[in-house]
Amino acid sequence: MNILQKTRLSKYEVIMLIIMASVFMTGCTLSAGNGEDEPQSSINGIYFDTFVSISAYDDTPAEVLKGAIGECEKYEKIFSRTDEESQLYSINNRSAGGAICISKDMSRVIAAGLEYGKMTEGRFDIAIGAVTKQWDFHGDGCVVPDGKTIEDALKHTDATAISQNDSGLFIDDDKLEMDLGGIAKGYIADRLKEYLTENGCTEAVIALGGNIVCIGDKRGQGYSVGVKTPFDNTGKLSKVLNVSDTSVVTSGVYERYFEKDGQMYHHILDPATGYPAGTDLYSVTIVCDDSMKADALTTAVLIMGEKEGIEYIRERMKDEVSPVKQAVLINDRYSVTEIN
Amino acid sequence: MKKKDYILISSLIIGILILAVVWKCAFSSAGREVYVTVSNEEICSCNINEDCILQIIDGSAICLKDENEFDGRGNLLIISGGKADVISADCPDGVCVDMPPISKCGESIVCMPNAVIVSVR
Repeated sequence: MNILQKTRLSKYEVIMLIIMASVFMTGCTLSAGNGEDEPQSSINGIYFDTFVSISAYDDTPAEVLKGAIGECEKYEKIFSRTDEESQLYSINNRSAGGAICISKDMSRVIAAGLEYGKMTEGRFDIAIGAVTKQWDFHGDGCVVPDGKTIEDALKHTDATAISQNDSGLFIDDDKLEMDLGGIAKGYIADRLKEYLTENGCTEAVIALGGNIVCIGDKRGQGYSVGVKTPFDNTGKLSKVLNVSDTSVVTSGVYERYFEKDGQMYHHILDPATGYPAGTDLYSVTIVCDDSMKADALTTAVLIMGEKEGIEYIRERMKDEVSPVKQAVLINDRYSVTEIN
Repeated sequence: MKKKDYILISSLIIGILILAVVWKCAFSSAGREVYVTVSNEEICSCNINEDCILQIIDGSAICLKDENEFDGRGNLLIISGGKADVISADCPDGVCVDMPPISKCGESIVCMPNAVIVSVR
């Protein structure tokens, strides 16, 4: 205590200094222990043949997250093309013509799908189901359908045969089938965001495979969303985007594909040919507040290819409603083009 | 204040800083759990700091004594040194095996073909 006695610093002052320093350091420690980059709570599952995760960066109760993931089950029963109990399955396997009674969710997605079909001049097409079902990119199939089968299926992909009014849905072609795979996940991601925000969540990330929706700005620092390097399984990223309160959607030919006789067959089919799109793009990432729109546009731009796709994205950046905010294109030479 | 006072206060702060770092290293993963779901049903959970080897097969997790007991079916999950890693699996794509080990809350290893998700909470 000699030192203390020789100075004007009292015992009390020293103790206060120690307490203050301790409080400061403890605060830092707790903060780091909790992890600035780690969510406070999270939940995940496999739905729509996709890994779905919801991570909250605020004190959203676990029950709310459970409720949100429960919504996925509900939407799976509406939009699954393969689930025999789903609404889409019953539409595609309808026995007679006339009005088909559909849910509000289904009606909204079909209406949006038809609109995006016009917006992309048919590059995005929800009426492609008869062609889609000829291909198997999930199982051990690796079978390329023969030309005649695709040709016949293509005769039943005219989206103008689909219409809706107050009585229900009408499909003026008995063999036409819908495939909402290129748009439903975007719609569901938007609905999950709605569900969480209505339940008080202000900071969260929803991920449905290539569809990412961010709520809030992650305690002011923004969310880092990585754009994967195509065909790389090690998690290598070609680009990292810092975004807040918006959606980031990626479509890539590398997501599902098989190889046969030295040729790669990926899952993004060109509605004009019925075969995997002959594109010079490996992946398209679009940042847009409307995840459903971004979902449809990534598919369409991928089919368009790099040159036309870049011009098209610039046009969509001028949209009055939910314009494209940013895009990242990776071509087949792994060259990255960023459009801001 | 004199030079020795500054030394005293600096020493105290540095001491606390060292303690904080030691605390973080020792206890930042305390209380974290690794949990496994199969087809969206949770089948098991365990403390990330308790080393164990699990074979995830037929919707359940079997504790193994060592890796050599793994018969190649399902997914082989190893929890060691505060990290969880899938090191072997019978799925056709092997994506889960390629994924890096996980240790932070919210991180996951996913095996789509086997509908297995390993996560930290």
